[in-house]
Amino acid sequence: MSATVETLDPAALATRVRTEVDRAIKRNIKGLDFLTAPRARVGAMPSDQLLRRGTLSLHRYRPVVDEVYRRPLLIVSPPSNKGYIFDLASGQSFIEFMLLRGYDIFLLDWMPPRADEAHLALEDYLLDFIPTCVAKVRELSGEPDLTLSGYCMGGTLAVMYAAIDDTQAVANLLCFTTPVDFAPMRLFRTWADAGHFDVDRLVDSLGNVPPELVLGAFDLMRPANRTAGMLNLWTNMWNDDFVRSYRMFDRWAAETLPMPGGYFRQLVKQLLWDNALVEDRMEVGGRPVRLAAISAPILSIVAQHDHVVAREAAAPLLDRTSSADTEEIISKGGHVSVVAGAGAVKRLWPSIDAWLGKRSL
Amino acid sequence: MAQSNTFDPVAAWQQLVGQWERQINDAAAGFSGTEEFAGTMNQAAKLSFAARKALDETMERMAQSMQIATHTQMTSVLERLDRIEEHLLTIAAALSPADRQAAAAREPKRTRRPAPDGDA
Repeated sequence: MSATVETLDPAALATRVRTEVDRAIKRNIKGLDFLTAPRARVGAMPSDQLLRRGTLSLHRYRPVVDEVYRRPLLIVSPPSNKGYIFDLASGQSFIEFMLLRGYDIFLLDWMPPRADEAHLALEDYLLDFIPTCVAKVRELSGEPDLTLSGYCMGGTLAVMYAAIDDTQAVANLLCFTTPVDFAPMRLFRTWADAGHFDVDRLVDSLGNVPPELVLGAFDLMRPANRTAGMLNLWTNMWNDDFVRSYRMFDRWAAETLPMPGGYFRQLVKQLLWDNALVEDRMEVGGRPVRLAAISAPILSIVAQHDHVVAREAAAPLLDRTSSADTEEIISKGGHVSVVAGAGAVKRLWPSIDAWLGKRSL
Repeated sequence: MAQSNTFDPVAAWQQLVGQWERQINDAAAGFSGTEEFAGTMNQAAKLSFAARKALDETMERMAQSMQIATHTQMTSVLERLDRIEEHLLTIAAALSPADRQAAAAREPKRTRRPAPDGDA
């Protein structure tokens, strides 16, 4: 009875009506702003481009403190996405957070591959691009070793590089939602099954694989997400922070990059079809890529609601390498929000700093 | 107390959207994870790419006959500009010792240690 009385509390009801009317007006005004606004600004921290060669682009973020950790941090972006997911805006930037905590940060980012780069393959990434950047970081920092990090397939590249690195440069591995075992990625494996997916024909006819293919696959995995996202946007249109964040994530997703055909072909054949990395059959440029060859400390971050890279896909990082120092953080959120969502800002980043600080001396 | 029990239409709406999203996604995962779906999807993708290629070729021919730049030619020009920009960046970096000296002067000490509780 008392609950019924409270439900009909005129003062509370009046407040609620006022709030909703106010929000409805703001939705309409800000909705117009949203539709006519230029693309969202991204990038909070100043950086210098150190290398630029075709699709490769290496940046160094300007340190913001006088004293940094000895070991630099090199982050590898996934070849299908821009690296600014790590640096969306002030207060929502992993880079900003880590700079303030005293890390010297480098980012290996990718430009859209040109038509004449369609042949680029894992050999180029693992035997040329990453080693070139590692050498540049070592040269600039004057340090012999570094922490190598990567997100999604950028993490897979970092792991594979750590497995073949004969310079002992990789002192730590920091992996964000990094697939190593592709068996749990059932939807991708079914869609790309050799029985009906002719990857050679696709790559031979297109050269670089268009981003629509990747975006289409992600949309197909969660077909309601886009519509639900729009509905949530409309509901929260009055909330400037929500809209700002939505627009940045939306821009990032829309700027998905084409993938070099050679790289995509190997991804499908060696990783999705053969699961060669976890099955110890992976070879790059004639060199075996073995998880057991990795002895560096590893921090593997997985997302609780990741529909792209399930926890099991990253699990071999913890038990198939030779590292005696491995740790896993299961963070709230999904595949993207784990890197830059509100939960990451409050909980995940401080945990990363606590783990990495001790290992960056 | 009164506020917490008041019906919140926005929260109810968001809950409804969340439920709908989950239900559709779960249903789609079951459906799209089948071999039949994958086969049909790949067939459709093949047709779509073939159609796109044919359209691209037709547009190229039309552009050539009208003596205007084709998409391929424009892409080629953009890629050349891209390469020129790369070279300019390299040259600019090599020609700016003052910048390098300033950067070196700004180099922080690499002696940081984590705070005793591990939270710097």
